[in-house]
Amino acid sequence: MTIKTKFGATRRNLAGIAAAAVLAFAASPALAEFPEDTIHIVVPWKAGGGTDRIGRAIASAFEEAAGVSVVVDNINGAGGVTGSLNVAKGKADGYTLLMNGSSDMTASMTFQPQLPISLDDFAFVGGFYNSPTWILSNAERGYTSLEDLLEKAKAEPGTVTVGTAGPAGAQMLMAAAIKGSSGADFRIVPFSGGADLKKALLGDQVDAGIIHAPVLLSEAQEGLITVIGTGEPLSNLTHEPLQGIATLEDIGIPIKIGITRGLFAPKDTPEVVLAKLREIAAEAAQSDGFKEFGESFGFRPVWVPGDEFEAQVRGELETFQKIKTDFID
Amino acid sequence: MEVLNGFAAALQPLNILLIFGGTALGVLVGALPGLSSPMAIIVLLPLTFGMEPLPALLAMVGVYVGTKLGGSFSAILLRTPGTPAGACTALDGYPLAQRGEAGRALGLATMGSTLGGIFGWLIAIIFVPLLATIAVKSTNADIALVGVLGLVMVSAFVRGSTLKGLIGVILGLLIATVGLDPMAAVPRFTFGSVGLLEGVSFAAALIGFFGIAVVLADMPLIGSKSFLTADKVSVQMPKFGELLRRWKSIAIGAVYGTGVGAIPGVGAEGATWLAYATARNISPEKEQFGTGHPDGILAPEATNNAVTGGTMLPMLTLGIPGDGSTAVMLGALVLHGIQPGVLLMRDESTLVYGILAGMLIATIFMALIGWTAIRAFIYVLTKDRSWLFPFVLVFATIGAFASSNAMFPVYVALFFGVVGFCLERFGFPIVTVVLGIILGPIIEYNARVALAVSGGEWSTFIDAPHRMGLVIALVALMVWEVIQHRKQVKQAKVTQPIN
Repeated sequence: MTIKTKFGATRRNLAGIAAAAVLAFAASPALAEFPEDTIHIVVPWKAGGGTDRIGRAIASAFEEAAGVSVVVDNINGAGGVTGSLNVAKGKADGYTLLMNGSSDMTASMTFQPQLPISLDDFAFVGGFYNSPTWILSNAERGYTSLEDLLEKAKAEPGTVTVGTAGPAGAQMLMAAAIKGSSGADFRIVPFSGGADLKKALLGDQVDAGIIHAPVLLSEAQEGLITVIGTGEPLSNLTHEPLQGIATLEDIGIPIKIGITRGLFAPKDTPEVVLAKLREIAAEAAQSDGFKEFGESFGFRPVWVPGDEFEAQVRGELETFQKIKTDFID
Repeated sequence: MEVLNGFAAALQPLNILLIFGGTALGVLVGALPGLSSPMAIIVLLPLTFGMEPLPALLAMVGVYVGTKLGGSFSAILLRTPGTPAGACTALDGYPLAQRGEAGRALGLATMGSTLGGIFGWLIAIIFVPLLATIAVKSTNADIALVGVLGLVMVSAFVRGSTLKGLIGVILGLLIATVGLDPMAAVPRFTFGSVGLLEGVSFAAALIGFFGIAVVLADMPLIGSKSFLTADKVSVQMPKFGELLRRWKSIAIGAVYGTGVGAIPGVGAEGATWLAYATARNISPEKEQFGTGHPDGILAPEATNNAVTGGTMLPMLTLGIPGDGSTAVMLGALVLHGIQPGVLLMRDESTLVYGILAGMLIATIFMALIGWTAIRAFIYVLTKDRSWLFPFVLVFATIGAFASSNAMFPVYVALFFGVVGFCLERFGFPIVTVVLGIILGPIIEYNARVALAVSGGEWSTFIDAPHRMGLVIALVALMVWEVIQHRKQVKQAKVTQPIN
């Protein structure tokens, strides 16, 4: 009889234990630690370029913060669109992320609205590296400020040349905005990319060039290149003397142009996973390792949390579209 | 002297080991069709994070130098270049191998690469300041003119109908227009496809034309259990006397390679074709080019190794990459905390000269590795074609995919494989199409920027002495080509029996 009672009690206990176990297992996916597997960060540009370098630096900081290995995949093509599409259409499980520059994406969406990609395809993890777009001139040309250049352009219309580091990017939009709002008549020369414009500036072949900071920073530090203006304040620049350069807004052109590199996930990524990604990214962006990278690259890192970053990028798209309709079309 | 400091730094035991390892890896990667130098260097990149900058760059330089020889080996044996730079070597290398002289062809390639690399290096080191100035002062107008010069030399590649050759070039130019307009960023001939927005991937087209088309063309031979060569092939390094006799081809290669490499924007791939064309034009045996003429191997080989010395210059003196590999190397420098740019030579002269010293050491290692590896490569020739072809196709697909980590270039490669096969069938030299694809974008982009900078003034192409010189050379070359062609036609008529 004791056995029966014992057995009866054990059965109830067993049932209780079994029920608890089932519940525990049912709850475990939610409690399971993300991330458990390798994370892939897609950099939609060729290896070796500026965005790639920043991408690799954040990837290594991300790896430390996440505790799993992080791999960079270069999927280049169509000005960053191929890689971005690849992530947007991929699995939304948080293991494949996109690292791209805000204005690279918004500029290509502005100039090519027929592309099958839009900001709605992504969830915004956060922005971690901001650099303004600046205007440079070879020191030999003698310009000390953008106002100088615009004055010359107004005095001799059609003679001043301003190169842009790409035909359809933030730099072109900046050039068009400056030309349109100031009324100065200068020639905009679209170069194929940063490397070619860099060469033209070093070789003193154009009056000025518009390119993302901090390209040519060391030459600017030495005085070979003059920074004559910038699209956004340079207060985060590691080189103090240049921090106070006048922005476009300072001289009466009400436009801000820069590029914030950020991490994006496919739009259907679960909230839990997205929250964890944002946590990891925040830690990575503020880590000592990434700060060190920033110091040597030229700008101190920032951290712009997901929602703020999304608002910023959407605002940028609107600005760009307005510039295009006002000054280019 | 800083050069000696550089050598002292590069000759540390660990560094020598890294250079050797890198070069060996480079030769292997180069020989595998589809895998290229930038890819191998990228894979090395994370492995070098823990190293000091100099050892890291030395390993990469070794790979860079090695791939230039490896790529030629498969061009000679399989007519499928392992790297784009090796494509030109196939023109005379493959026919020579087919004649049973594969050992000689491989030997010529090895020595051509080595000597070109060494002389190119010497030119680069001696003329560092001059070349740095040329690199900075070169304008888009100059590059456009050099491109047109290359185009005019196209008849050097035509065997048979000149008309078909010219049609080939025009086809190549048309193919090159696909993609976004370089200045207005408007899509051209993309038919709504996102994949074509960046244009026809050059790597994919090359893999298609030279890899897949070859397999398609030789497929009928599979059933017959054919080998590429049945005779025993011996390794034959060219004798010193022969190399001395053929010094002109090597010199052309070294000068072109270093010069073109030093000017960012012309494109290292184009240099080998220019050198080949020039070597042919000055040779008394020009009709033999394309059938296995040794100068047709020495010239492009010398060029593609001299280019490595050339591209190092703008990379180290200006921070501007000349090709994909140097772009990754620049990235590596930044990741190691070094700022490339105009001041690198001044601030980090031991690093810069250490890298340059490493390049010379790598070239010598490349010769040794090449010499011993030739035996292994010849083994490939004794294998049945039906084994080799799947191997080639697999690697071609991997290469096309890896060029941008996407499937689209693979389809492009397959498409061009079929197109190339058809073109060859109808007697169109694929080579001229490739030339059009390479030179088209260079000429178009640079000419348009030159005109944009000058405000539409065409005089920008002749407003400097060297530009005038280029234009005169251009016109002279065209006149000369026409005269040559007339002579050929007359001779053909004379030797033709009168029916």
